[in-house]
Amino acid sequence: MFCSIKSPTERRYVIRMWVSAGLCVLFSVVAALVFRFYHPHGVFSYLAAVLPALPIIGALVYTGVYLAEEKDEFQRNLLVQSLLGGTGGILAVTTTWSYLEDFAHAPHLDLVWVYPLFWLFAGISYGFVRARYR
Amino acid sequence: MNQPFKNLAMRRYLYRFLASIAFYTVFLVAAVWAFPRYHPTGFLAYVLAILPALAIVAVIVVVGLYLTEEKDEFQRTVLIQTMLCGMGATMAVCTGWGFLELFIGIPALKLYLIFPMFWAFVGFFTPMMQSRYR
Amino acid sequence: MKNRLRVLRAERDWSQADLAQRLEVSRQSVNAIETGKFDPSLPLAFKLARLFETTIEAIFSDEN
Repeated sequence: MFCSIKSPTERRYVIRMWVSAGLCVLFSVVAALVFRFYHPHGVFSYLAAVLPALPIIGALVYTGVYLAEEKDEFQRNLLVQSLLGGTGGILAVTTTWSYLEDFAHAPHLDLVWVYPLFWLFAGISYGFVRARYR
Repeated sequence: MNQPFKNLAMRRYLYRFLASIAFYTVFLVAAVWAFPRYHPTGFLAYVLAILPALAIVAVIVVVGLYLTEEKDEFQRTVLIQTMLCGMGATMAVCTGWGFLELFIGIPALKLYLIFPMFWAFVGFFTPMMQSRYR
Repeated sequence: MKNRLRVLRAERDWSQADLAQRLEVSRQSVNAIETGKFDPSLPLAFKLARLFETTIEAIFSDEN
């Protein structure tokens, strides 16, 4: 994704998305440590558990903000099409996998991986969408 | 959206959608009926398990086709914006629930619920998006 | 984007629904373009210009 950045708005967006991913990993480690050593209960356990989800929610909100801010309508269109492709992909895969889980005893896919997989499919879609405009 | 049956893209979508849902119902009933009774294994188990999921994938493809076929760019834009919001909300809920599952052990969310959850959020955001343009 | 669609429509005594039908879009789309809340694509803008027998610049004004 770094080789094709054209505008400062886009560069800011890509950097912040990677930062949010890094924070998520960091907060996951922190939460795991908190649960290991402090054994929180009640409200504090819920707070500690959702801590890693907060950078993700921030990233999702910021994606919306970026889509509104980006003046280059072609770049915006590329991202929108990639996100739609990612949506279709992840919905198809999670539905198929869960039926395989229930009926054919496939290994369980943790819910937390749905978000990274969504971006994986969005990235794959970006390749196809970009190729259309060569 | 007024006059849905005058719009060719909308009509095609409705027919294809209803056909896919009909297949889904048949395949799901077949799988739920056959598994406890006949205990299929191996390849047959995978085929029976995957058929309902393939019908859902067909629904996703049908929606994608509608998006490319709809000539009214305004309706298309509003629907795409609603779907992006819906996907954002779905990802947020899945990630939060996923981390709660991992750390606190709340009951797991079945992955096949993500698809209807997405559409529930789309329905939730539709009035908001439409009122933006009134 | 500001435009003169309402005036042009009134000159021909067309309702939004009439214009929508001629453009093959929905009435909400016409309303969104007219109120400046949605900018039409180039093909649709050309369609509008052809329909009103004028140029795109005569219908839409870019206030930059």
